[in-house]
Amino acid sequence: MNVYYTGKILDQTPTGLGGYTGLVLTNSGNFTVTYNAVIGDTTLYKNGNTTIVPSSDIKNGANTNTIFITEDILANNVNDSTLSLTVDPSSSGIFYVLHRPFSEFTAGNESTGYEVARLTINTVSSAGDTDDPILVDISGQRVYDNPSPSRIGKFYAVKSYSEATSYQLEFFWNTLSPTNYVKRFVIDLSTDAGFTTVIYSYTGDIVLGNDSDKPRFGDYDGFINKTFSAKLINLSVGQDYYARIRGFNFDNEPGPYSYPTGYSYNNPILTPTGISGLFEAPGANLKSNASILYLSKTDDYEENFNIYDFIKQNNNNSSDFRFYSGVNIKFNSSSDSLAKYIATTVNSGGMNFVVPNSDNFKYSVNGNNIFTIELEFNNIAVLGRGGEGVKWQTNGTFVNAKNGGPCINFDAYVYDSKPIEFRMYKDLSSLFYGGPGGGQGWVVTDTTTTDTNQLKIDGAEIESFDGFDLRQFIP
Amino acid sequence: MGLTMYQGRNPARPVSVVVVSGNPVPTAPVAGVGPPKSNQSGAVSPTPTTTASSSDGQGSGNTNAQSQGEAGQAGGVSATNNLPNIYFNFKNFSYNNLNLKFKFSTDSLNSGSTATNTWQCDPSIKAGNANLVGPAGCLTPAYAYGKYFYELAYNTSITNSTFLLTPSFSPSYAVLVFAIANTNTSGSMYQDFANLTKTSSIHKFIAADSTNASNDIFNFNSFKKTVSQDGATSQQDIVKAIFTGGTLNSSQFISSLPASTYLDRAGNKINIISINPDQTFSQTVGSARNQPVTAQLNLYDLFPFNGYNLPTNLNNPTAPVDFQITQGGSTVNYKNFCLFFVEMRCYMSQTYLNVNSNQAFFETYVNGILTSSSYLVVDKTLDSSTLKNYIISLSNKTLPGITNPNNKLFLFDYLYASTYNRNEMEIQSRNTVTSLVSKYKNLLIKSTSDLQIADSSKSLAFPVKFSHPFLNLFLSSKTV
Repeated sequence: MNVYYTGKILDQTPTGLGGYTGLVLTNSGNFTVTYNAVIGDTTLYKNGNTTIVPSSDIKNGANTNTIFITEDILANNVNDSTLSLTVDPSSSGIFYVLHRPFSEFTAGNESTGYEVARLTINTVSSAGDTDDPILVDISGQRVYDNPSPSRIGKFYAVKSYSEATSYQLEFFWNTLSPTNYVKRFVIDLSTDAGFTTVIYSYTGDIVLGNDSDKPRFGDYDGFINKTFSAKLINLSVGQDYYARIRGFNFDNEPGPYSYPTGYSYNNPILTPTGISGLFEAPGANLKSNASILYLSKTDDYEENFNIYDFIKQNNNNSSDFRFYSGVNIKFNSSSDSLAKYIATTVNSGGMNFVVPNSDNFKYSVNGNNIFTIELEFNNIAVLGRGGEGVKWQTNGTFVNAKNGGPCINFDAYVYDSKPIEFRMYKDLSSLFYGGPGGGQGWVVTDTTTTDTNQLKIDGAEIESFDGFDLRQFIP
Repeated sequence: MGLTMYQGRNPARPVSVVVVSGNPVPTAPVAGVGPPKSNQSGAVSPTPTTTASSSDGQGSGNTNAQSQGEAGQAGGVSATNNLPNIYFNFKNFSYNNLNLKFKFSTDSLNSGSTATNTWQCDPSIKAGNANLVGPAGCLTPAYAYGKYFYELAYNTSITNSTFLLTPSFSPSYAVLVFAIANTNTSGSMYQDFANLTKTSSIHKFIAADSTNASNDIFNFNSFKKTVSQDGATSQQDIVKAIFTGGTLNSSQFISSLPASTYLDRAGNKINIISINPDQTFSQTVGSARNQPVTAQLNLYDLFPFNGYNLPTNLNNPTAPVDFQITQGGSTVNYKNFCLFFVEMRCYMSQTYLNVNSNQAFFETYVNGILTSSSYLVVDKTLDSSTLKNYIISLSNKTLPGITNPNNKLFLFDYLYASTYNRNEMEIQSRNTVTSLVSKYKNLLIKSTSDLQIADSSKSLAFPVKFSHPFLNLFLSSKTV
């Protein structure tokens, strides 16, 4: 029989932070094996001498168990000195050796040093056989000098806009490594690619934890499972922006800069350089490129439809469109039949764009200094209201016929000297008919000498050409 | 007594009145929804009464009907203050047709193209000797509004009489895009349209062994029809259109049928052969192979349209603008220009009469509107597995006895596809036309870019009957 003996040196762990080392047990036998691990008492010496660190320096623990084991480093109340791991044939199991966090201390505190403990692993197979124990001598080092921060990764910005906060950039990033021990992040924002002038620096500190079983900052795997974010608001639309980020350790030493990629949506799929933090300087220009707001409307019937109301409703009921240089609306019918947009008065169009006087409709423009409203019509009929015909009065006179109403009624709205332009694109079946004009009145006169009465007939009014295909109309 | 008056050009709502004495009065014209009057703006003022008259003299009784006031103007584009810039066009639509059996296009033409006698079939779709060939120089490159296309010389054809295809019972469709134009400056639009359609032998796609397959096939015919309305009669130009294409158009499938007076089906062609074709008829003919055989053809009116009349100039928003075509370095203004997108659909359906017989349906859509539908009963037991020779031909010819060399025929695209079922065929056929309309949208609006229909002070007028059916706009002009 043999005793399997080995040693393991844990990564250096700055005081106050967590660290872990994983151990893999591989069962190369033919039966399932249960591994029962026990870690003995720790001996933790003050740095540079043989004095034992007092238990009071250990966070929520004693100085005899500053190293412990667990199968789940993120579980609460991890404080195990024993564990049992069952591993199938030709499989592996993993468990972790962790440093118990130290209490807060200041420079000169002696609670740094070396710690050792013995891990004993006994094995028993499903056939009842046992093997000699595996002995692992664990040694670790608590350090006061913090390692320099490494590069920040997964650094990207999401662009958005709201009336309350104007243009905003929300940054996201990750420390990438469980041993990237940082205390603070700083994001510099500049309007030039060379960062000649940093117009704003955002500073975000790591928050002190409040779980007695956890490291004072972060978790036993550092910050690797945490996505940090910060939002910068009230930025200018159309302004060039560049950003960079770096971490600072607990000694306030900075790490290298990382530069962001820019996206206009959340949870983007990052490029390899975007993930690694190696995206080339100066990173993406985070300028707000006013975009097109794409909308669709599928309805079969609307009266006096106002495009402005529709786009406002689809902009969180806001009249502030400064994040957009245009709108595209796809009008669809829900069936093979034409959807009808009908005017019910001659003062309205079948389709309208009318901005109420009470609204301050604001928007950005494209390179031609124009806000474009694109309207795509798929199986849509836009119909104006017909005018009244000639009306006879009781005194024998008549009121003239009225003109038909407009098919489309679009305001020439201008914001900040920037005009709106409409572009209408139809499919084969869509049609646009203005309201028919009111008809003439009539007088029918009996020309015989026996009857001189006149019959006075009002002119006709046709409300609209609803359901009538003017293409098949021969006058 | 009863009197029915139609309110001028508004056909949707007849106005019925009762006159207590006197005789019927003919309808008087009322300017309801027609093109805006050049001297009209806003509400109109009363004008002197107009005494109605009748073209056939029946209005000489004891009553007079006098119109009072003028009709209102139709609505168009409007705004509560200045008009904005509004642009109009067809949507972009591309369609990758994977079921093509052959295709001819003018996509390869450019400013350096010269006259030829051959329209090349796309060899990536149908290899072999499938080109359409005519007399030397019969195809002349032309250009308008960003597109190149061919003019086919008057009284010529381009033909391939050895066009081998596999006959198929599967639903199929052919699409032909062409235009007819002339420079006429006289006559009404309706007469012009009827005149244009005198170019009536345009398309042939028929089995080579069909009877009289080598004869011309006539696709258009126009004739004057007497229309009676309110006791008055008038002559109207009526146009009919039949285009048939597909491998079902074959004596291999279609048993011999007798001809009617005006329509030739003896050659297994659904085909106008003379003037005054039947508007509708249903006819039961003799039997073939002791099975009942029926045939029916329905013809519908093809309503006139004319791209020429579309106004495009905001400085003169009601004035029609000529259609301009450049050929050989010279630009010709056409007063009449009609662009036709023709769908020729055919499919089979089993008849309840006999399990061995199917009905072969043929439908013609011109610019999206059904102009003819017909069916013939065929024997589905006949062989359809081997290649068959078809005659495919495109022509610029008139009906016998008519000459009209001033009509110009322009060719744009011609293709044929076979599908698996009727629904798919209908969708693909329409998608194909939609994509071709998108391709030639700038010809439809007579502008190389989106058509501006309004600026700060004016908007264009679109009298619907004068613009292309796919445009389907009816708007008056407006001046702010």
